[in-house]
Amino acid sequence: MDELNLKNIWQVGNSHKQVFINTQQLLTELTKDLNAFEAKLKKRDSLEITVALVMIPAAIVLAYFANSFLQQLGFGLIVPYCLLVIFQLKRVRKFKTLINLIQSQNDFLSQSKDYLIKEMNLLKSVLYWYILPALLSATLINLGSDSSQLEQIITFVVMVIVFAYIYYLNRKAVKNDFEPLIDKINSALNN
Amino acid sequence: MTDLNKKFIEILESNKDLILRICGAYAKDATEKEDLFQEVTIAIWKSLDSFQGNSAISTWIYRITLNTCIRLSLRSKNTKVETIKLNSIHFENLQEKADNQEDEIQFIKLQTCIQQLTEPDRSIVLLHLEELPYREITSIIGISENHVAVKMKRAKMKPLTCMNHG
Repeated sequence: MDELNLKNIWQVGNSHKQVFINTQQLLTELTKDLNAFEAKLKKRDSLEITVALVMIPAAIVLAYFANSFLQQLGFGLIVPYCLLVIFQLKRVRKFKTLINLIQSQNDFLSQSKDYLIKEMNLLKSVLYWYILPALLSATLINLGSDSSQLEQIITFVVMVIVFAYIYYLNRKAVKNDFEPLIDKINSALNN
Repeated sequence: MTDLNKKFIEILESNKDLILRICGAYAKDATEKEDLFQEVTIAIWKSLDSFQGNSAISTWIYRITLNTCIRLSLRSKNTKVETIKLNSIHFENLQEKADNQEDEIQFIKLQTCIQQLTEPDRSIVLLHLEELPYREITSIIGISENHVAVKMKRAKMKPLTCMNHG
């Protein structure tokens, strides 16, 4: 077998399968269904940001009615914490929309890699911008509450376990999802 | 139908066979191949506004098709593709053509050989089999013509060896 045979096999091979397109139906699906579907995805993706936005006025109201200085401080810290979360999520997500499919393969891979690195770094630093500030606020609110010392200790332990689990999930995603993908792109770019 | 819609249908109809061929080199099975085809269709639709006519339409189609296939092949195992099902696109196996079993077997074998290649060798081999000139391959892959020539020399031997001895 030679190169010419290969080209021949390649170019006629697909003739066993035929694609039929109902053009009118396709245009309807692309204009209506696709738009509706993408709006749904967008709404879901912005859920974390919406929650953080809602938490800001709620934290201000709760801080106003708090029964101790520690609780006031805890609720007050939620405001800069939410702003930080919104900033971090928006900063990374704006890069996702910039990736376009009409550029050359090398540029596409480089851009995809940059985005993945940004997203991975966000997960790697989750301890500092998500977990520790949230734990600090929650601990202050807990310490400032009227609960008994035992209840406060139990609440704190539960919170630490929950936040440790979130941290573990993020590290796992970095190791199992992001690092292999970035390695794969690197090898495609350097090959 | 608007001019843009007409243009889209025209592009899709005249390039559907090549899109399906390329998708086959990235898909594990027939279902995945059809899913990839749908994804490419959506990608073409979404990118249509950005087609300036600065490059040849074929270069544009190959770029979108390859980048879409690569994007989906790069996703992690746990990530599902979130997309809509386009019921307007149907795939049929043609009975009269299916009589020629040998062609089909050879084609599937070649697809398997190509799937074993890593990027950018896989794309370079695909574009070579599509008989694209070096200049166009250069523009699609985004590396210099000399670099393509060096890679091509090495890459095109792999499916040949695979078909002859694999």
